[in-house]
Amino acid sequence: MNCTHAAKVLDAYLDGELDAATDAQLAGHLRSCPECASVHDAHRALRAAFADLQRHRASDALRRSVTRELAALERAALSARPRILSWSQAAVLAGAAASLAFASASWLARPQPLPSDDRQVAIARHVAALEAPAEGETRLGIASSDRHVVKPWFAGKIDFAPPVRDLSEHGYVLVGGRTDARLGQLGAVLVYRIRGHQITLSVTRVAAAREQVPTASTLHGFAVVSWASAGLGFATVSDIEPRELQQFAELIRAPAR
Amino acid sequence: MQNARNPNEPNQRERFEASVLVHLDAAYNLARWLLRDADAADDVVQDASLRAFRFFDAMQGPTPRAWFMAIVRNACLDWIGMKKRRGVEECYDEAVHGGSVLDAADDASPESIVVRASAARELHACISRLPREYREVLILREMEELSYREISAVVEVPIGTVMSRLSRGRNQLARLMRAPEQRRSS
Ligand SMILES: [Zn+2]
Repeated sequence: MNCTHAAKVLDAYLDGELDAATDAQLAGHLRSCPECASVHDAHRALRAAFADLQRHRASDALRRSVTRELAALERAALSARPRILSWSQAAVLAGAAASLAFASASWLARPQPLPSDDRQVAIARHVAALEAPAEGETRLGIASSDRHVVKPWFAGKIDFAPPVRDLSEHGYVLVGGRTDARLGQLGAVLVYRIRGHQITLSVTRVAAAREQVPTASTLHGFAVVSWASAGLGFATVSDIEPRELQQFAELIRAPAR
Repeated sequence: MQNARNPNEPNQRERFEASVLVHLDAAYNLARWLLRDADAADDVVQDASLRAFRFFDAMQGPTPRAWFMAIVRNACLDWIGMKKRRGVEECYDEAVHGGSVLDAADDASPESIVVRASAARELHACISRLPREYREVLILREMEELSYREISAVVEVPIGTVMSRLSRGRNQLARLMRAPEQRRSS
């Protein structure tokens, strides 16, 4: 074995990843070549030094938070019946969904719902935002009903500007916002409230080509309206009636004046 | 919310926790070394965990650990890419990234602990100066003790590339450790 070959396999030798024959050849070379032997010794010393480095460990807060969100995802995936709506509400909701075909033309021209995955994540996000935060965690990154406070809060945290609208004249009160890195991509989550019902609006970047008209559906008892436009994907989730949630979405979509 | 499932049979989430989530520390350690930001590591690891759960049925690769860490690594790279697009400089933050570097479980003498803690700090600083390609394979190999096959799956390069990156990474790290300007007086 020459030095070039030795240098190639030296680290695999240290890591115990060499086959027996090459392993023996390298051991022989190291006995006869001081230069390669000194590289070997240096790398072995590094390996020993690593033993004193402390691993970063996941905090208890992170562990709790993951466990809680997993449970929420599991509930969203498993529950065959609405979790929050009563049966009578659910019946109304189902009826409303059935009548959506007669709603305003642009809405449901050609329903192309998101893959159920994305909707489930949006719902899990919604459910997580409903539950009280664990100790030491905050439910919202910014809690304010003032869009001039909420909108700039996102600057520097995400690489796009989510529409933050003041819809108080329509009864939708802005509660606040947070960022969320689900799907490996940071997105904005805005929380609104109407008559004690929470509405969450999730905004993430999507392929610029993905244009989608607002599409309403119900999943696990939640109303979901999703659409995509100009490189952003939107999903709004609530337990209010789908028709009302569509109106909310329409207001969000209305160009700012 | 009760259901009729046999309570002795683990459900999807319990199986996920037993085979994948047990590697949360490993995932978090990798995320910290890649992102150099504790808050970002929390967010990214949490979301990668949920993503892994959603795709648990499609799990593949040599081991559940390698599969999970590949997802975490991809989420980290997305985050880094997003930060770059935003024009934020990647920088090393000693306050966030430093901290205790010596393993608590140690039966060495106080004197040798001091010497080793200083050596560990120096190593820590030198590793964080390495390019990401070398840093990640070294962390996966030396701290998480992944096999070459697992590292190959996590980093999505052939085993030969894993081997050469480890070799170059160790050469560069050894140079950094020897360089006088990196030395701290103790
Ligand atoms: Zn040689």
